This record gives sequence, structure tokens and C-alpha cells, in this order.
Amino acid sequence: MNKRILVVDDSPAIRKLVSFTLEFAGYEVTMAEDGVKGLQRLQAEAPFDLVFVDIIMPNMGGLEFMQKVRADATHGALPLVVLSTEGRDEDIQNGTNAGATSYLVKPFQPPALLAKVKEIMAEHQPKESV
Amino acid sequence: MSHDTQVLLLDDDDAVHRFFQDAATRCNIQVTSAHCGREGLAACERMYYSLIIIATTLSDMDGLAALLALQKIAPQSRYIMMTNTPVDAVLRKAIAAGAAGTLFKPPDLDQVMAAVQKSEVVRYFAEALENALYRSGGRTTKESRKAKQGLQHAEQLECSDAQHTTPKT
Repeated sequence: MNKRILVVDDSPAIRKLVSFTLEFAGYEVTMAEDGVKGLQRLQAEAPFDLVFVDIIMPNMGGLEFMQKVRADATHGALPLVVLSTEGRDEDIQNGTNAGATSYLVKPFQPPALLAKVKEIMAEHQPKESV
Repeated sequence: MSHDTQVLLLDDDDAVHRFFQDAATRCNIQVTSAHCGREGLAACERMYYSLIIIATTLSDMDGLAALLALQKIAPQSRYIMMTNTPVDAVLRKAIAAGAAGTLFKPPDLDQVMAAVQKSEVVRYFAEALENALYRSGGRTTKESRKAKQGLQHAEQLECSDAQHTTPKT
């Protein structure tokens, strides 16, 4: 069974570009346009192996999304990778404080994105339990 | 070695240059500023840019003339035209001449990032397709089909659909 990845980003173009890249590498991708929808997808369509999340989004941003996931008994250990336009040191620190496993700054280089996914998947072998 | 996307910007509007330079302080892009067509051509002679953004109007030539001249120097680069209005004769001709997309002024970080990201993903799939065909001696394989499909999807993606629901400036 393919590894499953949730992509949470408010830009339709970025969501699709991340999705094309991940699907080409054999991952199954689910998309959500903000943190609220992301949490809904996470609850309704689990299990996932990894989540990419943008920081600045309407309704619920990435920092709040990650805090809620980390506080959740079922999904709290899920790898969360920020993919954001905000790449200053304080932005990365805020992401880490909110629970990010890793932080990538846009635009991503597809080989670097896939290498990061592979690295994190290797570190978090067992799929989260539902 | 930097992994930033190298962007060349041709525009005579200082505000647009400030916007891109500010974006470069936080995103993974390196922006070289050219304030007219001649400066852009000179910059392009010096190094490779994966993405070249050209205003449809420049002080010394129009954007179409700049595009055609730059394409001769840097055929591998991807080109985006930037305009004030969707109804723009130069823009239409530039798209017909091979420009990959359009940005509207004033630029918006979401739209710019989608355009830059598209150029990176298109390049990735183009290289993957080339490598797959090289390995198979030109025969179509499952790998080359997947790469071709990814390339088509990425090339056809409309970046102006980047929603601006939240200001990111």
C-alpha cells in the first residue's frame, strides 16, 4: 500500500504542484485548503504517514493546525513538515515551537522535497494507529 | 552551494523590484534586477536563470522584443510575462512566442510563488522525462509515461488561480 500524505495549503497551484511531485514518486496524496479542512481530513481519512502544511492560511493557519494535531491523542506523533514562504529564523523557530518535524521554504526543489519525505518516512516507520 | 531558484526580473518599475527583493529575503529565491531590456540581456549573458520575468513594457524595448532576444541566449530558461492588464497585445504575442505564464501587477506573493514553483516542477519533470528516455534508448516506458504526464499536468497548471484569501506581504 502506498504511503499517504496530506497536503494543507491555501494556494490551489501549490497544492497541485506538491501533489504532482509526490504522486510521481508513488505517494498517495490528499489535499486540504486550510487548517480546519486539514483537521477534518485527518480525522475522517486517517491514517496518514506525513503532513505538509503551509503557515499562513485563512480560517486556521499552520501553527494552530500543528498545535492541535500535536495535542491529539491519535495523531499527535504524525510527522508535520512546514512548507512556507516565510523562511526567516523566527518563522522557523515558531514552526518548531508549534510542533513541526521539519521546515521547508518555498519554492521547493522537487528532489529536496522527496528526499525530505524519504528521510522522515524512514525515521517514522510505523504508520500512526487509527 | 545555494539551492535558491535564480530569478531574473526585467522591469522599469522600482516598486516591483522592491517587492521581489523583499520576497527574496524570506523565500528560496535569488532575484537579479534588470531595469531595462539591455540590462536583462547583459545579465543573461553572465549566468543562467531558471525563471525570467519580463514586464510587457520596458523603457528601451517592449517585453516581446526582450523575450525573443533572451530566448536566443537562454533557451532553457522559463519565461513569465508581467502586465498591468489581461488585455495586452504584447502579452498575447509573448505567450504565442513561448512565454509560460502571466503575472499581474501589482505582484502578489502567492501568485509569484506559484509561478516560480511551477517553473521548478516543470523543470524537474522535463529532466525526469529526458533521463527516462535516455535510459530506455528512446522507447516509451512506464517511467517515461509518468514523467510525461507529470510534465503535462504541471505545464497546464494555471498559476493565476492562486487565491489571495490571506495577505502574505
